[in-house]
Amino acid sequence: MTRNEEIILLTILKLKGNAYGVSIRRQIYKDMGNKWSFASIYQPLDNLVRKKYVRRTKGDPTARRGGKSKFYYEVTPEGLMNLQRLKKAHEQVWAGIPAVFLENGK
Amino acid sequence: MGRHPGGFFGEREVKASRILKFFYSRDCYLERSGDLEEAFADLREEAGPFRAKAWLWLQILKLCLGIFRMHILWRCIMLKNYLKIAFRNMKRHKGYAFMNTLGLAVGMACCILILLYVRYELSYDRYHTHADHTYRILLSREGFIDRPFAGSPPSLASALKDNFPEVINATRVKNEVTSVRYKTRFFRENRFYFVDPDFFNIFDFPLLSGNPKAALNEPLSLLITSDMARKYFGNEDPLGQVVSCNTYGQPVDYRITGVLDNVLDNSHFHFDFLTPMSSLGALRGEAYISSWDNNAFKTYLRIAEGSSPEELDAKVEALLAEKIPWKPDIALENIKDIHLFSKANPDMELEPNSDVRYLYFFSAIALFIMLIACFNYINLATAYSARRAMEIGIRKVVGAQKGQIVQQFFSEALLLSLMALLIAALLAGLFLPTFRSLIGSEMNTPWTDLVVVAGVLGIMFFTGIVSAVYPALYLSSFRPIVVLKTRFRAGGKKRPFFRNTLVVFQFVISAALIVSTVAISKQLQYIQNRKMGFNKDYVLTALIGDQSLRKNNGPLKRELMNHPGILAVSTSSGLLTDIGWGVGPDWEGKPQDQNPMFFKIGVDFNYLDLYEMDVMAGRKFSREYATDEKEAVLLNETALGITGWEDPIGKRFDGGTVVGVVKDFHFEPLREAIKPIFFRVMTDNDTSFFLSIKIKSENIPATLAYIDKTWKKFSPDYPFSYTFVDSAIDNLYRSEQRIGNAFKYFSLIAIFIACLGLFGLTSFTVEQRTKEIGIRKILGASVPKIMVMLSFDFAKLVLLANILAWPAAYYFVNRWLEGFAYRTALGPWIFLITGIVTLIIAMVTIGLQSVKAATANPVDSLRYE
Repeated sequence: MTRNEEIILLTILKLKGNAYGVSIRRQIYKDMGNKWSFASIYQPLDNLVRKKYVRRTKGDPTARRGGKSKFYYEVTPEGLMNLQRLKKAHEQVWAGIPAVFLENGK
Repeated sequence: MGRHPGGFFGEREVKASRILKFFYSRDCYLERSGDLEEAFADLREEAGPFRAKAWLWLQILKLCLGIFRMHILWRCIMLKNYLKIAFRNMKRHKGYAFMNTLGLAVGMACCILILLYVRYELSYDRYHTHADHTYRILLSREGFIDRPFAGSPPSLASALKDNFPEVINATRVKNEVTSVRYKTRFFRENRFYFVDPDFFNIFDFPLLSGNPKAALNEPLSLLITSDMARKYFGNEDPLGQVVSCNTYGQPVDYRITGVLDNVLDNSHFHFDFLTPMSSLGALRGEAYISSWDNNAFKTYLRIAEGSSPEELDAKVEALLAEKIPWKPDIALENIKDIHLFSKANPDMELEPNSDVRYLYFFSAIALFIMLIACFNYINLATAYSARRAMEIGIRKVVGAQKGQIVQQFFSEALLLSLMALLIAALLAGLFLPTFRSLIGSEMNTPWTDLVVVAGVLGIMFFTGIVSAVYPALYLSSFRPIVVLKTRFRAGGKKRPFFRNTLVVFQFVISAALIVSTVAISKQLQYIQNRKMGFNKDYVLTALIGDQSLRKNNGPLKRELMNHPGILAVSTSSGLLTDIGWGVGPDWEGKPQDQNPMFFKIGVDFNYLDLYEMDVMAGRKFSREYATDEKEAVLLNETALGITGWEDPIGKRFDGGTVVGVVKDFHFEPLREAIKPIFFRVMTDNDTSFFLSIKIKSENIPATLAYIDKTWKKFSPDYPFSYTFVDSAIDNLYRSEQRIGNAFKYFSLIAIFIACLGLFGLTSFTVEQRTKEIGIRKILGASVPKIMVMLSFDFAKLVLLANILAWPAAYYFVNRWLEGFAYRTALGPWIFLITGIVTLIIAMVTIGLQSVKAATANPVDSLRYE
């Protein structure tokens, strides 16, 4: 899983059922402070769908979207499992790094 | 999808988002353009429409770039890898690559040549602006002349223009052999055309100099082609010059009023001289060109766009029926159809036409040869698939999808066919002149012709795809576990059935072509050797143009006979290869309701002796009977059969008395059954057109020189030009000879490519069985035994192919032979010999490889074990 895919997967989890293109992008902006282009959202999203880590479902159309449907994303159990494994790996790698380095980094 | 009423996108934004539609599935597009529109609405409220629009465009651009990276860039990178691997494989297996490329290249070269030929043949007469609406009149008379011919009465053209508004232009065309003299230059011209002024409104023949409007208005004005301008005038300006032309015995002065471009090769007629029809009126009298009772003129007409030729057809028939005593049957034929699809009798054409069947036929052969080459590729690629098994296994392990492997092998095949195409273009260019004379077509289609370029590329893609489909699917189905775990032997034993089928198919085609070649050359030989019923050897014929000489040719004949090299001289109204005179005579006891056509020839007393024709009843013409000159008639056997007489001698026929019956002889090509013909005596007559001279076989040039000298003395206004009867007869079979030659070359090519494949397959088998052969030799097998073992498998296939090919070849050759009224029999030995020949060729091919294997030292093949 790439870093972008990880971020997107976490964002979807965070949005709890209201995760679609625009809301994902907005959440990432809130969390990280930079605006991603739609292209850089869809590419990891497509990969995640292909790997079956997320599922895509068709929602209702709204007027604000010019009458086009929303497509919601939700994390599958498989995606969740991989995310947990990744987190564990992260923690193991980070464990034992003296706090000093972390302070300096800021 | 238009603009949604509640949406935020304006027209231009909707248009912009539509770009995405090309790349995405419907759902994806809905999602993405919906997201964009929503975000766009947010941004517009936040930062104003201008920035929102700029942002939107940037997003769309980025999306497109991402798609490009995903779908195209990576593919290009992979393609580079595929090609690199393909090149490495070719380098490693040079023989294999060479065989594949050579086979494909030769096949493609055949296809390219045939493509050029077909394209050229289809281009005939299409360059005229009004070609779509230009027709010519074909005429036939039920029960008399069943086959329509391109002739009509001279008055028809103007009558059509006067009576039918949809006929915009109409012209008569008549070709007469004419002797043309300018100062010292004096030639017999075969392409001297009389036409109406409308000629230029119908056809596009560009005038290089002279006034196009006035060019054909004045009688005795003459237009010439640029070739003729060079021939007669060299560097002089031909405009306004006076030449003397002799068409009907009297030299007449014509003034040159214009020079035309040479007629393009792809035209169904070619003229060198054009003069108005009024000149013909001046030469032969107004009555001749305004009558209804001869059909010596061709009529071309241009009809209005949208009017139906079928309706006009019926109207012309009605008009003509009023003017002539018999019931005509009219057909309008578009000029674009004349070259390939003409229904008209070829004897009456201005120039010989081709036939669309040749196009089908050559295209089919090209396709078959191409298939043989593709099958080689398929067979070798699957046979040697073990070489690639490891590579495919690794690719799959690293993550290649099946589709990607398929892509890889397609790109490999396309690469190979591209290389083959380059060689093929070279070969085609090299053999174009040979092919031209072989097939008898000018074929000057430019290489830059778009259809040709597209066709050549099409051939390349066709080849690449046909050869790649099966290997790609086969190779991509390898399972990595199987391939990588064990020593994989793909293509070894599992697939022989499929490969064998292809080998059989290749040899079926080759054998069928060889059988046809043999059968065709047998028929050609039959034509050569068949007794014509007259002796054609060492007889030459010449047209007597001078009318006064025709009427008094005794002195010429006597003077010719003075030369010891000349054995006999005679005159006749027609040639034995071209009688050209058909009548409906009366005879004693002729049924009222029938009027069959008889050919008629007027001959001198010694004509039958000169040609050594035999009389089976009665006697030949003789000066000893005073009445022969006016009365005597000789029939041939067929004519006798039509009259139904038991005892013909003394019966009345065509206003004369039958004195004898001539044995049937062939005065038409062997395609036609012998027709009824009768002879009358005509010495020193206006219709004594042709001089026949029998000469000795020794010292021919001296004899010809003497004839030329004597001719000049008697006929100074007509250059002497002669034809040998045997070569005139050979000319009748030119198209058959072309077919025969084409078959010869194509069957050679087919068997060559098939053997290339067989060679590759044998070397594969030998390679596979190296150890087996080694062990067999150790256990005491002899070299011949091993060779038989190796050859037997393929020999079976070749034999099977032969047996399958025979009925197919028999069917097609038989259909071709049915075109001849007199034909050779297809004995079984043709088939047997072909079978033996193909088998020998195949065995030699296989033997080259198996000898090497069988004589190899078993120590070498077994030592690694």
